[in-house]
Amino acid sequence: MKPIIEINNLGKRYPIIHDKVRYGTLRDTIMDFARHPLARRKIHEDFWALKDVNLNIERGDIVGVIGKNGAGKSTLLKIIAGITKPTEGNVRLYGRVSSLLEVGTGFHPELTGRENIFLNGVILGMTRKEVAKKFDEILAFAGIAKFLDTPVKHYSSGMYVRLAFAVAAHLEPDILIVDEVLAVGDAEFQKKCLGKMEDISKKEGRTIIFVSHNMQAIRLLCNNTLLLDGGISKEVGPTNTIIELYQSVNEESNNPVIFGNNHVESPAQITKVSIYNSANDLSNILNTSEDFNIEIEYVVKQNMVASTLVFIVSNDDNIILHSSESDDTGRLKRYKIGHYKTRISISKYTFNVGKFETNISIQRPCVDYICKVNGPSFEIVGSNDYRDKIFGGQHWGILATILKYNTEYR
Amino acid sequence: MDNTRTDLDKVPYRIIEPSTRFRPFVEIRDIWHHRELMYLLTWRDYKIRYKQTLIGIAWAICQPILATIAFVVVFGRFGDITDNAIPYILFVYSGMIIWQYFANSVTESSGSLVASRQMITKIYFPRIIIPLAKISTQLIDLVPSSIILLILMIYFGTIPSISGIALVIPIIISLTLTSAGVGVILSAINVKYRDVQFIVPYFVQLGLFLSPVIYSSVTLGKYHRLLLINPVSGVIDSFRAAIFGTVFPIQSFAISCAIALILGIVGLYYFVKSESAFSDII
Repeated sequence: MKPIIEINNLGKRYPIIHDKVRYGTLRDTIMDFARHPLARRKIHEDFWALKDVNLNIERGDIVGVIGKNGAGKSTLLKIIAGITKPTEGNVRLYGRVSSLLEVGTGFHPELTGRENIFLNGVILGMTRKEVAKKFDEILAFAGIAKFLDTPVKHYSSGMYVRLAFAVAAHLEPDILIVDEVLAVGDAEFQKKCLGKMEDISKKEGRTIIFVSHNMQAIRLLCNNTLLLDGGISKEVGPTNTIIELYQSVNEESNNPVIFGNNHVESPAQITKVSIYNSANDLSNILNTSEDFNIEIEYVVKQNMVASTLVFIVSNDDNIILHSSESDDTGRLKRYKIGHYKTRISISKYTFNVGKFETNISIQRPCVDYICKVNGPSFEIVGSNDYRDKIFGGQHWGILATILKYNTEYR
Repeated sequence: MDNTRTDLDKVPYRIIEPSTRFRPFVEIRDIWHHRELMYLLTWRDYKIRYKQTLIGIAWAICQPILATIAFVVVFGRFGDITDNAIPYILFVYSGMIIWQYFANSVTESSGSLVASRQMITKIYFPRIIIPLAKISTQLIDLVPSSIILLILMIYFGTIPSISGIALVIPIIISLTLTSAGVGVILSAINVKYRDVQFIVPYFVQLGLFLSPVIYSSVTLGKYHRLLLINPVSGVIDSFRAAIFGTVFPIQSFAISCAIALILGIVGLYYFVKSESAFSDII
């Protein structure tokens, strides 16, 4: 059978533009501009949000798309929906497409519920006749009949979402593209929406592409799933298999070792980051009272000057607790082509009990990043240290630094 | 299985690919397919424009009337700056509604894409519908202000002929095409360079004096040909000739039509070429 959607070698490249020089003060900015008025101050870099994605979707399939943030899920949907053009490859669609990347697109707060139903329906690709035919159904689904002629600016956010989804749920395209729109709204309404989507595909034979972080919803709805990672399609197959794979990959990020798979071409690449405990075993579960090491392996493919390796530790809330450069001399380094291994020692009593994220980059400070990776996360657990006898390992705070107490008694 | 296959083969399929080849008929067909959307966006604009105003739709009439009164008070006493026998107030008002239709269309449409960022990044539809809907909203405004014109004309005892009124239709079509051409080009540029929204108001203000709104192009003597560069001036002259029954300036109307056609095609071409990048840079 001919697939209803064919995706061939799809790729999407975005240029990233950032400032070449970071200015400290306004005076610097003006002085630099006065000295070199015509110099280029922006750097253009390419970033492939999606690369070599191939996928065939059969009529009546519900295909889930999963992956971490930034894996390219939304980009893929936007291309299929026709919102953005691919850089390479193509998508063939045999049927009418409607996309639901957001609930209530085009809703106007000044218009009434009734007016917005028509407006939104047409924006989503229905004709006014179709909306009129489905009007009562939409109203029943949304359950806002009482407020039909009230401007939606007076609606509660829950009512707003219900109305918006009700319109979208009554679309009759051959292909429906749904992004994480169910994340809004209360649990009961979410369930209702999932049920409706299931109905749409099972009873009416529509094809749905569904992006979600909610594995429960994916498992419930989708028979096939695509796993995206860093813009590359990692695996396609039956939903349960793919979700298991995804979860095991996700656990990998809890591993003490991370392999860099940076597909952006750059003069240097971080290939491996590992955490060793005091016994020199790979481990990212550590004690407050042990020294540990972080080992970074990287390849330099072009000679680089004025560069440095930067190591950052942040906590769960993304607050940076520590950052340092590879060189404590305060000078930037030259890197010749070759393989490098750097070991960072972190002494005991640096971090208190908690979970920590690492981030390693090679950069030309104040110029640009050459490459960066999220290193392995680590967890500091308590210790059976003498210090912990009073509070049982429950000291407050993020840092575990031992301070010197000098007490004078008079 | 075979049934499904033929079924699928019949469905007009769409290919999404990097190419940005210009196929005007495909574009126009696509716009036609989305005509309901254009209708609804126009309706929405119209509906919300005068929400929470005291006099509502009367604003559509007030704008040209107030501008006319201002010019009549200031310039009316300088004696004859028109060659016509028609009252100066009628002369200015008739030019003013045409000029303001063009000016408002260009101003409104040039900022329209940026204002609809949310729709552009979330839904597919031919983007050109957004600036075009803005222009059709302005076209609707032309109706009440034309009725006022008719009332003024009857008051001053100049009743337009049927053939004159028939001539108004191609004149308005030509002007709409010109507005659309300029409007879509500016709206597309504005997505990338927001400078447009600062420049347009100045040109619109300046343009009023470069068009024969408050003076007649004939009073410029041998320089009146310079006005032909301005695509609106031919339209204003033709419009007056049509409704007041004076000699129809066939030559300048032909030039205006030609410019309208060129602007229309160039506008569509430029828009389609830049359209594919909108959702990425808006």
